[in-house]
Amino acid sequence: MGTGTGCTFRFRINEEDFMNVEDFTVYETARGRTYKLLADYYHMPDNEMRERAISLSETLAIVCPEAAPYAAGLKIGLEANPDQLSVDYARLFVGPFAIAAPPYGSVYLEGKRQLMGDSTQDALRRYRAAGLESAGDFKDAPDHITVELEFMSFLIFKAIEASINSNTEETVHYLKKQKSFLEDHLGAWIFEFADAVVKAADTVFFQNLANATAAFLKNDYSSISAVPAAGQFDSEKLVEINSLRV
Amino acid sequence: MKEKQEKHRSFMKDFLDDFKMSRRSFMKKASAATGGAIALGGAFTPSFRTLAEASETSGKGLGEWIASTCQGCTSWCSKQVYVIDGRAVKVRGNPNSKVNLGAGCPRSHLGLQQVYDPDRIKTPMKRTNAKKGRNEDPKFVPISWDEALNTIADKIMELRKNNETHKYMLMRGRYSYMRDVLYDRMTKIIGSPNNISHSAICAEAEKFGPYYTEGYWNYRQYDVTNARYVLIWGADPLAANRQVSYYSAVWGDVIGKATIAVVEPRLSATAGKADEWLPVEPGHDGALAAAIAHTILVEGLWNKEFVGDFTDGQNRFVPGAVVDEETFEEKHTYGVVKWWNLELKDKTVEWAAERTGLPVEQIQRVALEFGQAAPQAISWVGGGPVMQVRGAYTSMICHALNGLTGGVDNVGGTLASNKEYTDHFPEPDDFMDEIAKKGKKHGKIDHRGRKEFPCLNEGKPGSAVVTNNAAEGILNEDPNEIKVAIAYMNNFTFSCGQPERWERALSKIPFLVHITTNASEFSWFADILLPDAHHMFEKWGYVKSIGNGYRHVTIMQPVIKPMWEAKIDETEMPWLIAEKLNERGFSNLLDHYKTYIDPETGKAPTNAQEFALYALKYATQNLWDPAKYKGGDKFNGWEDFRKAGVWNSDPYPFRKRWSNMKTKTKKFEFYSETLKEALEKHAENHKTTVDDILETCFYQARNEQAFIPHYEEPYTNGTEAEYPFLFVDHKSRLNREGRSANCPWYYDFKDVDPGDTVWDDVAKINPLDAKKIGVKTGDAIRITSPTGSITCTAKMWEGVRPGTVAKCYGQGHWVYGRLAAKEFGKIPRGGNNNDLIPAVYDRLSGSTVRHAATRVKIEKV
Repeated sequence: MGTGTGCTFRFRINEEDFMNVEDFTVYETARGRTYKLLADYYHMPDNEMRERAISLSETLAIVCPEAAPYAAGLKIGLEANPDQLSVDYARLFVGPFAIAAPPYGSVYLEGKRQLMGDSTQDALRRYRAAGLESAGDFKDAPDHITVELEFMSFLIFKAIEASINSNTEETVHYLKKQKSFLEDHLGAWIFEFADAVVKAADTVFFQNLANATAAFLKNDYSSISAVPAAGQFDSEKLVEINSLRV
Repeated sequence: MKEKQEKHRSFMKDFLDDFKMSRRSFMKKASAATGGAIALGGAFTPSFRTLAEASETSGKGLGEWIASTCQGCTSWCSKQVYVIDGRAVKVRGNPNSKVNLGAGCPRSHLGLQQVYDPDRIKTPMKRTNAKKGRNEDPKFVPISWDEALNTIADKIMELRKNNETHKYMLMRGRYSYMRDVLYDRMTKIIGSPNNISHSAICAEAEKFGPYYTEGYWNYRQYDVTNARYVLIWGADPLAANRQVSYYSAVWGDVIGKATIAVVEPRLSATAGKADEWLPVEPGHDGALAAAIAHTILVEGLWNKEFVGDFTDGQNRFVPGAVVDEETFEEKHTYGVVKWWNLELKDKTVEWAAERTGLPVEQIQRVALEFGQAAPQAISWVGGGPVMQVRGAYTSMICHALNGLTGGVDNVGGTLASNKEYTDHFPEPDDFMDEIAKKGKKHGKIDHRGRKEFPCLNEGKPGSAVVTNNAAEGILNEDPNEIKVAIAYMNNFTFSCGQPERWERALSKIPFLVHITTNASEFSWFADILLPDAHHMFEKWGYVKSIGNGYRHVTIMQPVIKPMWEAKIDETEMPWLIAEKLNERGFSNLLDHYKTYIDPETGKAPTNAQEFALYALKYATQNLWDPAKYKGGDKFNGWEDFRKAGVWNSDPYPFRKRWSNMKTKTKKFEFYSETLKEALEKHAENHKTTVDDILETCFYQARNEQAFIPHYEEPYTNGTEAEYPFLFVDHKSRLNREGRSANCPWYYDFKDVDPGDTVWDDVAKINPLDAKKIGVKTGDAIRITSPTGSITCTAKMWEGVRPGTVAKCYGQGHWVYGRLAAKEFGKIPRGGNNNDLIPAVYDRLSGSTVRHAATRVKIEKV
């Protein structure tokens, strides 16, 4: 794992060419931001939650209008007492006693309630292939939901960058990486996770967050199916055929 | 360039046509509402919180075996962990250890499921529900290390400001030998007498017999590969006693050479492979030992070289006959004739058979064969017969057999510890100010040394801890209230008899900090939780252990980067607290810790991580620094030692302690002048007689009998009429202590404990008894004792003595993790044996009782 802190990536974009693939760029930007906003929500509750809810409503309106009610629900949910949100967050994702919805891929894929398994290692391998690693001051497992959501966001921005720079090969490369990461990792456990959150959450906020996450991911599966030669996605089938699942 | 752009545009157009089909809703929404107006400002410079650009060194994919230590039980085996890409994936025995010989046991593998348990405490947390109680959800929320440490430091400073530092308490569970940094030095420098160890709930009574016969207060090692007879009392070395890995590795050889007899009411893993199983009536082990001693003397089988002989060679040990002491000349022992006259002369095999429920022939056979094997005979005393109300004397009489056979300190016998050369940490005295010195003088919260708690550790009254009684001290504010407490790697609300008392006691402490890996029944009552490093994978430390005629000092090191926010309990955390106390104007603790200099560089530590490492190097310098070499394995320096992970002593010096024992007479004492002095000192402290002390402490001995190994009837809770069964508690080969309860493998492989069932918690009942009470395998049952009740599953099993019910300790958690509890916070998975066991003590050693402690009744539910 790295020693540095989380970092800001600067993408090289030729401004003149930007509008050429406008639709794609607009849509992908909204996708990338949605992943990032969701990732931020699975960190410890902070005081940017309200602002984040507004942004998420905007991006979900574009990429997943079905999730609009959940986005609205997030705002309502934020009216809860902040302490209540922290307590619920801890109970669901942190502990200390028995986390209700472990936010780790390996728990679902390997079914042993043991982290840092082979699936975790595979996720880490993919981050490395993309030139990344866990940030040094990030103390959680590499298949924590926040990392996997951020990684998707990273891959999306890489695709946008490539596309705007007219690099077809690289655009497709990053789209394919997104597709396979969803297939093998995030998409293969997120629905089970979201179910667990919805069932166990005491607060409206986390129920809506889980619902919004699941709705968006489901929708995103079908979106990514437009990747050339990708074939038609079937999210349920993906869960079944996942090779990392034990 | 232009061409490339055209090509890309054309490709993307085709692509987007498809794309639009699948994103119809987007196109509609995007064109109608937002169009292309999604602002890209900032969007192309996303800040990632969890990912960073990879460094060049990461991800080589090469694995490496790194040395560490397993503390899954008290064997303390040296280990190696296979680490690949920063991830621990396998554990094996460290081949460098002469104690373990590279062998292992299942517990070390369970470590992987512990370190990577998703239910671990991940970050400091604070309680947000001020009310405390079993039914009060603490509602913990994550906080920063800074907030946690500031809060702790403020509480300690408040005690110091008000001159009530004695109201600070430190409770310790599983420790390494870095323990004194937190347990001793920090408690003393703050100014409290109240550092309370878990030792008395472990097996202190086991040490009592060896100390008051041969002056050795510690666990023994056994020269099994040279033994011809191994007689085991309530120990299960293949599963749950010390050096499980070593004994498991050599046992095939031992079985081939020696006769093995196991005295235990249930068929243990070791009993299952023994030549003789003696399912003794619980609590009557002392009667069997007395009859064996009687037989050895009557048959003239004692070891003449060690014990000596009648001056004329004529054996006067005739059943019932008093022997004149003048006729016997002892060599390396003291008081054998006194022992015969006071205790053994009438303890015939027939007499023992009546009490133990064992056949006369079996007792006779075992006694003869054991005696005939002398001196290559071992009487191996485990916790079973001694962690009882009158266990101190059983510990003496069972261990005293080693004196008769001359197996003590001898080839094929029972051995003490080899010499090792680790160093103490710097003394705290110069850093204790007036407040601290005054605070430390107060009485201890566990009442050791009071008339009713002699606690005679190494001959000193009031020197052994009475762990479980600290709950009474806290509850009754006797001798004072406890206002601030820190506890680490313990779970007294689960691991002590009558744990409900601890629930009330902890609820009463206004500020409680719990340092642990998994939030337990103890954590439930805490105000602050601190995430502890896992000993095998994330911690710097060392432990020492004996076996195979060697002693090893084995280190634990952080073989992986700690998971989450975990920090090291015994070094990093006290340093961080010391820093915060320093910020508040109290620098003594930090000043003291700065004296733990790195022996290699002479530098004082400047932060918690340096302190953890320097403290270990400081304590172990004599082992690895060639300039300080004193014996055993030789190393070229710290790095050499760290890589090997273990230092081995010189081989055992047999017979060096004969007539040079740390007893009052320097001999092996069958009449213990050492115990006599200790008891008389305690009686004098309370201006009374030894007999009065013994009566107060529930022992039967009076007069001279108080000083000899002897049989006492068991002292058991409950009447036979109301509670027909004697309850037999035993340990698992998967968790001698706790900490496996949230590991899936613990449940998957639970049937490695004889008679147990996977994914269930069973009470083993003899089929004859089961039939009588109309219970069969699989029935849900309630077991009730006078002090509590549990529910679990019945299992008909021939491996328990009729009239007893045996159940493995370990399950019955109502928290601890998703798997550990059946319905988290509410319904335990199985039952906790301690809910049945009363809070009673072997008061001479201070031990908490867990065997022959209670009777129970069984009902179907």
